[in-house]
Amino acid sequence: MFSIPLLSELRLLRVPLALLLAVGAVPAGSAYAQQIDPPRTYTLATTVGGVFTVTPLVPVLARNSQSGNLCSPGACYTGSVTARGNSGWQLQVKLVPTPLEFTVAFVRTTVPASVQAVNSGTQTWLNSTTWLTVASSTSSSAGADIGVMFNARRGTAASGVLPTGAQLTQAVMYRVVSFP
Amino acid sequence: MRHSNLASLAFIASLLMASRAEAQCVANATTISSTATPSITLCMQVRDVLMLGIDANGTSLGVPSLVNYGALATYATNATPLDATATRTVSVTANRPYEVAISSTQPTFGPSGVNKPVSDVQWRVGTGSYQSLSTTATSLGLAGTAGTASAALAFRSRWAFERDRPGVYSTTVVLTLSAR
Repeated sequence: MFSIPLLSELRLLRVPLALLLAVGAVPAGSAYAQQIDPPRTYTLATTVGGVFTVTPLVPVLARNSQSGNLCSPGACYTGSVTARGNSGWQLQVKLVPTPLEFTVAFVRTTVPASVQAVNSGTQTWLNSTTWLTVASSTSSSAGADIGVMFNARRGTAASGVLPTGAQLTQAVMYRVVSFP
Repeated sequence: MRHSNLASLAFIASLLMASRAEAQCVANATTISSTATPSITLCMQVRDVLMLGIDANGTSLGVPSLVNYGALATYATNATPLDATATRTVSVTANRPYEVAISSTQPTFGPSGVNKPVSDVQWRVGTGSYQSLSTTATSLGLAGTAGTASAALAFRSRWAFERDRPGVYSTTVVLTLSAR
């Protein structure tokens, strides 16, 4: 004969069954399990190139009264620039374009600008095609102040004149490049 | 019959006590009653789930130019910060309170011979203020009670002429998600 379990038996099984379900829900082991992502790593990178500059880009050149064989014939003009670079650098100058009215030479001298007779040093003639290195550093600089001196002479053409400081200022250009 | 059920109950209860010493999940069984409706309490331990995501594994810091450089003594305040090329999205999914921290794996970085402080790299979340990166884990400010959240993470950097010479710069950032 078909029989149904006694209700009282089901009641007696109720507690063990609940306990079994509770035990089964707990993750394996007694430790309290967590799922936390591990730290994420992230890369910041860049490739840095050479960074060089000269300021001002058009430094003012002023005619002075210095004499000596490096400033005569013609006249000498002085100015100053600041070179910056994140590695060794060279300061270079050239003419742009080559003026017809006058010629320009860079004067390299160890004589202080305050000295009137500039006789010791060299002159290097400038043109508009070749950059002339006038100063350099084998290490980086945040701001190296450099004095420059030029000798300008009247051109041989009929229109030749001795330039004013403003004219020479506009005739010379500068750049800073990496030290080779 | 009754003795048998009681024995089963005692046995299962002892198993439960042994295996769930640290478990916090408890099944509550009602008192056995001949008139009570049979019921089963289901109980499970929900573990912590905290997931951290970022939409890329790296970002270029960008290529610094003149404005991003300054003298070593003043660049930290005077140089214009260089923004990284992209902003990244950090996302968190959690079922409990959490927070995200950021740190670097190394105090300095740069090509051989260069020790650029990792603090030259700054980060911010959203439109917040920038903070310097360091090897000490710092809260990203991305924290919440639970749920899903995301935020934009941006980086920027500053550079010094005298120290940060040309080369490859790379540093590793660590994002750590933890439960609060």
